[in-house]
Amino acid sequence: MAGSGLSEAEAIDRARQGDPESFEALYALHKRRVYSLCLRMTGNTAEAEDLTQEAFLQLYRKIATFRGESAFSTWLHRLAVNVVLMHLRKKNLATVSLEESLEPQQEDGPKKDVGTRDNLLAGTIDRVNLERAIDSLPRGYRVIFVLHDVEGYEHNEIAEMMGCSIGNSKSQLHKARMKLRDFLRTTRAEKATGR
Amino acid sequence: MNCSQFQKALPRIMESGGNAEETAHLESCVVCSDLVQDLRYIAESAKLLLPMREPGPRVWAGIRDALEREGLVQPPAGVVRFRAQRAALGPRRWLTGASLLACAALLLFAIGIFWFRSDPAHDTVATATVPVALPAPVDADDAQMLSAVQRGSPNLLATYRDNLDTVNAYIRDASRTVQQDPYDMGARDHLLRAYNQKALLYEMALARSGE
Repeated sequence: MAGSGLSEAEAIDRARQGDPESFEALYALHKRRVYSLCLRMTGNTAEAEDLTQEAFLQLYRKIATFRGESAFSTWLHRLAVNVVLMHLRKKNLATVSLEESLEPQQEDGPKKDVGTRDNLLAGTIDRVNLERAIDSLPRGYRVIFVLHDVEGYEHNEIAEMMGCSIGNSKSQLHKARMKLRDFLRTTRAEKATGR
Repeated sequence: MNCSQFQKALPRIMESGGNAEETAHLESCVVCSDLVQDLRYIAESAKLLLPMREPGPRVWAGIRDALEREGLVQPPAGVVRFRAQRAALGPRRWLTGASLLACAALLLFAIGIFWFRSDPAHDTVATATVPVALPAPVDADDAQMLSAVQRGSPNLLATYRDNLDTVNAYIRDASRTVQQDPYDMGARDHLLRAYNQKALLYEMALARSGE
């Protein structure tokens, strides 16, 4: 790892012995990914910072239990996801929004807009607008979209983490993508008309 | 099959494909075909999002303090004395985290560029050796950075190249957005984070070339 001279394996070993430099090295290596995950799932910088702090504290408390069955980053990532989900469950509003988002809802009718190839999103999305679109999602949709499409968790893993069915996870992911599509098309149309 | 029936089955179709009837509808219906293409494009684009955000300095400070309180680490003796002295001084005016980040990002990037341009060893090596299958560089600075990685850690060249391509794409996207609306603070912030990410990439490459 740049700057510390320690490999990740060395840092983990030393962290188990309480070496402060190795704690900081592990933090420097993984902070962006953990914080970005927390921020994308919560949509709030203050919450994300608190949750990042909590995730790393739990990491350091539990590091002696890391056996190496999975990659360290995978283990830390799952720990961070659980920290965020626990936090969301504790918040009444978030719990309601998560549960509501997991209930089957009556959707709008099928898309009937006359589609032409010119309306395709392909090639028109930039990362700035996609990040904004994700920020605009209702919390429940955002959590599942981030876990699946951004972070790469499978539906069975999401279902286990969130206490829902695989079918619900698939359904909510689809709704999240539909909302993102609507947001991105609207944004593109507004820019085209010089809003 | 009509559009309503097809779109109702879309969550399953997107994950595991459709049956013959659904496939036939997809091939014959422009609206549903465009919808599926858009949804797939959104999913693919999401995979390319990088962890661009950096937590504020208070996060590590909080972690460090908690670790010391819990006895998981011991602070160095000098740090204990420094904190006691600092506490006696009272509150100070500090630069905001955002402006510190901006300065650090620009400074790192400038240092990286200056180092690559001013070190004659790089020019010598870059002209004396024939890089093995170096991909086409974005610009001269990026090419020198990749050459340094190839010298120090050739097995990581592809990874650095991928990360460089991605962060340059971020910079292009954010720059375009800022050009369209110079007052878009969110886009400006995003552009700053993209440059910071590139600065960190250069920093890591510098470290590798010195190994």
